[in-house]
Amino acid sequence: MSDRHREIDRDAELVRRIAEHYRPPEPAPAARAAFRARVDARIRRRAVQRWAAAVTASAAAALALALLRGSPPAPLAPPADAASDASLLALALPADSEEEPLPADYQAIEDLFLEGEGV
Amino acid sequence: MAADLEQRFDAFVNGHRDRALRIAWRLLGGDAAAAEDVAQEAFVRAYRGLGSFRGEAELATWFHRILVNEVRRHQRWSGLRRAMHTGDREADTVPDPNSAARPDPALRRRIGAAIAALPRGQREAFVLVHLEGLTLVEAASVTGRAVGTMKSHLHRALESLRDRLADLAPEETR
Repeated sequence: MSDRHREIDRDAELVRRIAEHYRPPEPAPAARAAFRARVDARIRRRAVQRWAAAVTASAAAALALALLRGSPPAPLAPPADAASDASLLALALPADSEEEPLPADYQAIEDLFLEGEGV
Repeated sequence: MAADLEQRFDAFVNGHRDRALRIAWRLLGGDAAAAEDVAQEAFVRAYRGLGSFRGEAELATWFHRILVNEVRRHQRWSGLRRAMHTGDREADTVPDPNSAARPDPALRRRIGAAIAALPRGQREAFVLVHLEGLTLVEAASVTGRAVGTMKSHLHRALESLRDRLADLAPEETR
């Protein structure tokens, strides 16, 4: 027998012996049933976790949306019994009123322009 | 439909459980608790994709790929090495008292240590092809490696095991 053949035979025998000795003990029937029960329990737990994660994500998204929008919008018009000319005028005015004073430096520049126009 | 899937999954677990446990056990150096954990996780992952498979051969390869990935994940994240060197956790699995001749536990541990000491690619190639009987093509598909790489891994694994387990080789050839 050639060296190569001897080597192949030797390796085959080594593999056979490893396979023979390196194997887990046969599980008992009860262990097999328990394994299946544990797989089922994991599947159920995973389903609950996915459901909880989805609910949490939805709640978080709804909360974020509410925060972005700010507090609930105020009614467009005051109640009829509180309506007055002043309040109607206030609602009609733009938010940034033209009456709002300019900052000091802008005011100084504006004054210069006004002086140049001979006002 | 759901009942059909449940039935199919039931048959699938019954058909693949023992082999899955054995592959995981062998890849994890004989750690029974880790093998059980990994195999259960592989079945949970398989449960979601089971409905899309029809062919049994394709299904087995797909499942073994999941299993090997779970083993890799376990090895990456757990203190497996420490556990293997500090304790024998085989007692976690209840052996069948009626099972046939049981291998020598000390020898089993020695072989486990020799296999665990192999680089991952060699270990996977040796266990899947030589111990589990997968073809080179199947093992390459399961591990995501080229067939040529698998051959090379097998050759090196055998060389290494020949050195580490010289006393297991036949007497007359030594």
